[in-house]
Parts: sequence; structure tokens; C-alpha cells
Amino acid sequence: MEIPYTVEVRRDTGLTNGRIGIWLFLASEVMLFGALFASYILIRTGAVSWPRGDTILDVPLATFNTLVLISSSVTMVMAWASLMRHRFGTFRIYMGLTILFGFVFLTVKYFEYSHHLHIGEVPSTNNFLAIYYTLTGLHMLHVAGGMAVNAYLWGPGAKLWQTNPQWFTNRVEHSGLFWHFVDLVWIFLFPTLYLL
Amino acid sequence: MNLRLFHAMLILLSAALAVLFGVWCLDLYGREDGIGSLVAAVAAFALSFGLVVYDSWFLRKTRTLQ
Repeated sequence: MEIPYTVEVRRDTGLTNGRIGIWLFLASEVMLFGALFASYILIRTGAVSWPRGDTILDVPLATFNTLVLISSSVTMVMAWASLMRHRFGTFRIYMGLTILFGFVFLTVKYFEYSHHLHIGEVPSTNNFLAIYYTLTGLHMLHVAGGMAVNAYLWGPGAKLWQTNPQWFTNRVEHSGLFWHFVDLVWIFLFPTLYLL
Repeated sequence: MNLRLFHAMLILLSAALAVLFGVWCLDLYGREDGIGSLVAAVAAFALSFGLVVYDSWFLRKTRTLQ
């Protein structure tokens, strides 16, 4: 049985099912991260004293990671644009770069975490570190999840391009929306934890 | 909202973040007087400008992709 509304839009919503699905998912993600940000604000405003993020965390390293994620959003949208212009080879290059940028981000984060753990700065040390590990850890899981989907679309999932290119392009767009959401979360996380 | 518009919005927010980072670097320069902070501030403001230019280029270039 064929899955309906993967390429053609539904008359009642004016959208494909995939696009509605990804936006509903992202709405639930906004609630998840929103709740954590709200918790952060409540804990911080209720604290007698609060450390400056730059006295504990490595700002230059996080700045580098921010640039990496912004670059990955550019390569992600270029991957989608390549498919829209029927250039599959270019798509492969841009999608490969997006996965690589994700890998660089996680590697830098690994070194950042290792440093903190090595000097005994664990989540139970104080509220700031507890929030830091919770928010950045959850964000890292999202980066890893996005990389897994992108790797599937770059590799075995790309077979769909041969049989149904529009459906494949839609899948890449949905993955791109998720990837951009993950970048968006970091754009809020970086100043909140490292600068303010 | 499609990926094209989401990307444009993300780049605009990134430009705003670059401005915020530049201000933070200037504040750090005022507190610690390191030339590195001043260079970083200038680079951040330049990056912010570059991102806005890229954003308008991107929107023009992908006008037909909906």
C-alpha cells in the first residue's frame, strides 16, 4: 500500500504529511527545551549568587563550535537546494560536509566535557554545571540524532532518488528543518550559558 | 514555513548573536584590556555584517525554490 501525501499536498491542510509531521515534532521540541530554559531562569533568579559562564566554560572553543554549526546549516540548505535543481552529485558533497561539521561539533564537545570531568567539575558540583550538562547534553543527543538521519539520507536512503526524487527531496527538507532547529537551540544556548 | 525561510531566519538570528558576542568582547576588553578581545569584537561585527549580506544573497538566489 502506498503512503499518501508524501509528494502531493493534502487539500485540507495545503501541506504534505511529512511537513506537518516535522513541524508537530519541532513544536514538541520547543516545549522540551522551553521547559528547560524556564527552569534555568527560575533557578538562576532564585540563586543568591551565580557564576559568570566565562569564568568556568571555554568561550573560544564554544565560539568555534558556534561557527561550525552555522556553517553546517549553510551546507544543509545547499544540499536541499542542489536536489531542487536536480544535482544529485552536489547534494552528496554538501550533505557529506554537513555530517562532517556535526562530527567536528561533537568532537569539540567531547574535549570540553573531558576537561571539566578531569578537574572534577561534574553535574553535582553546583546548579550551574547541572544545567550546563543537562542542556548541552540534550543538545548533543539532538546533533547525534540529526547526523544519523543525514547519514542515512546520504547513504542507503539516497536510493529513493532513483524511484521518487520529489519524495526524497522532501525527506531532505524535513531533515534540514530538524537540523536548523538544533542550530537554533544552540544560538540560544551559547549566550545563555557562556556569555551571560 | 519551508527550509528556505527557516534558514534565512536562522542566519538573521546568527547575525544578532554575532553582534551580542561583539558587545561581550568589548565589555571584556574594558575589564581586562586584552588586545585579543578587541580583535574578536571587530571580527564579530564583521561576521554579523557578512551574515546579513549572505542572507540577502541567499534569498535572492533561491527565490524560485519553494
